[in-house]
Amino acid sequence: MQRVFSIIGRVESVLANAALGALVLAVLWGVLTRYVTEKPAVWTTEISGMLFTWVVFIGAATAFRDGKHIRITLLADALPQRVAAAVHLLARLLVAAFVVYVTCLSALMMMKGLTRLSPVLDIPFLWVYLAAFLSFGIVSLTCICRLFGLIPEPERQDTGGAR
Amino acid sequence: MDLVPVIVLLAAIAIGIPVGLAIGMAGMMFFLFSAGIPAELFVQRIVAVTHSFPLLAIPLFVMTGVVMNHAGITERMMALAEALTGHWRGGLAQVNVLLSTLLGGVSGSANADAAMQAKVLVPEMNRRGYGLGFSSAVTASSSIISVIIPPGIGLLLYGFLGDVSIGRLFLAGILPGFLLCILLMITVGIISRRQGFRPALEKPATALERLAAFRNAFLALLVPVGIVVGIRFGFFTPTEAGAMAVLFAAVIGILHRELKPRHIIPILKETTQITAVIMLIICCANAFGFYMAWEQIPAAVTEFMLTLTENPYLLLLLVNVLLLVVGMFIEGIAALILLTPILVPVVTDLGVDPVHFGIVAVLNLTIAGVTPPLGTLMFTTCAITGLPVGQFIRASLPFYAVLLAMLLVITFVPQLSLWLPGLGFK
Repeated sequence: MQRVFSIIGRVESVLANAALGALVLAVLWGVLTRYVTEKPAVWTTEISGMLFTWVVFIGAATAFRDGKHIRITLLADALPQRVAAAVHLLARLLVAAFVVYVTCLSALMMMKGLTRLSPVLDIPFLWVYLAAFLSFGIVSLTCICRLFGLIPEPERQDTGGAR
Repeated sequence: MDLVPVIVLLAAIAIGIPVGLAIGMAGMMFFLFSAGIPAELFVQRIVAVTHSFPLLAIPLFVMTGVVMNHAGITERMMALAEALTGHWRGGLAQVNVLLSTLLGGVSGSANADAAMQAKVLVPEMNRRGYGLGFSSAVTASSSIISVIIPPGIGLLLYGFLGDVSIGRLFLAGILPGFLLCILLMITVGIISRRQGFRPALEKPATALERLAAFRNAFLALLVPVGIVVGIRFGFFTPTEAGAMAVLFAAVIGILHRELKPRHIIPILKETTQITAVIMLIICCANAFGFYMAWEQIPAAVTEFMLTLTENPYLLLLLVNVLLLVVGMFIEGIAALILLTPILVPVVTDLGVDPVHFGIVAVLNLTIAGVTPPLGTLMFTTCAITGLPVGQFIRASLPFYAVLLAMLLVITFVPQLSLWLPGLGFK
């Protein structure tokens, strides 16, 4: 299972890096055309927004797996060990339920986005919601595999209370 | 008024669920249980945030800092800071403070600044007998400066969420930033004199050495100037300025022959990660914001606060206390995202300039980052230097006093923030 996730990780990195690189170029092209040519490129704003969706959501999935999202463990840590373990399990179950549900909702939005086109480039919104779907899908998979002990919890970077 | 989402939010954060997801869950409660709103709109709300052009400035400003780091700009800035202040008493501590100020113009994040200085400067300070406590305290406290020196992600977010001009906010942060730098340097000087810390340099750097150090860092120092001038005079939107800053930073790195093609992937990776962590919170907060707007919570809070006092000074004091308390328990950026839409209407109602309030709010929530129990800057610094949190707090006491005094001055002397942005607007 760990091998599957290392492949997923590599795909995520390629997607997010490509999207971010393209995003920077798109915004720069927008500035350039605004000053150099008479007709500024309007499509750059739209495409950079779509690329941003990919950067954020794919990046968020990677960050989730690496345990980089900010969370506050001070209160849970202060509990007696057995209670803390129970609270931790509850938190993981809640997160899993939440992300699985959001994955389903994202799929629903993808279907709706099939026919909705972006105003300038006529790109179906399917492509936008696909990023959210993939992101929450990967996070769901991560959560479920962790609950069953198939992959380890992310290493805790012990910073005392928040990270 | 339906308060279930608020309770869910606090409970989820308390049991250790990542803050972004906790905010998302709380927002979801509203979409699930209010009649007539399809639940999939939740997804639409969180995705819509990434289509806002102003917020694109976040990855771009983050990337500027990352590029600068890889391009060796940080070392050049440090050499400049040392040439200027290294011969003072407690020289390296002074370098630490000045470096935060110089880097404030290229990195928009206090956490990145604190982490970098804790890694680079603290071991050296420790070797020269400054003590781990003092070194860590200086590092964490001085990193606060970089938040209000433009460009800063905190100010950018505040401007976006509170509908306040980002160009004016950036200008407003400059004077308070320099003032804080001077105050911290004086504090460091006094402590160093008492403890007998030695200077880093035997004698002052010569004018020629200083000029050389300045020339080495000159191009990088232009970046923040270019951003502020470009935005202020309407050449660029903040987002475009961010893209230009990335381009400029890359060109500087190539001119200095320090930026190589092999740096591209690490730069993209680091930027994506920092961006995604911040943006997940903002995206989910947008869904939560839908609930707040629906229940008219900002209006209710305004009304409540106005029943407490109608004196703007007293109100600012109250709001400051509120922010300090919230900031102690919730990470600064997250607190800013949740509270800006609520508090901006309250203060503007009593005639406080939202630009002035922005500096107050951002400074306040960042100060909360160096105080117990939950200070992200404190934890970042201590995690890297290996100092127990208790000792950090003891060593930080004089800095807490200075920071709080500074907060009061910024709060009650609005001219400090408003003079610079007001100059050209008449």
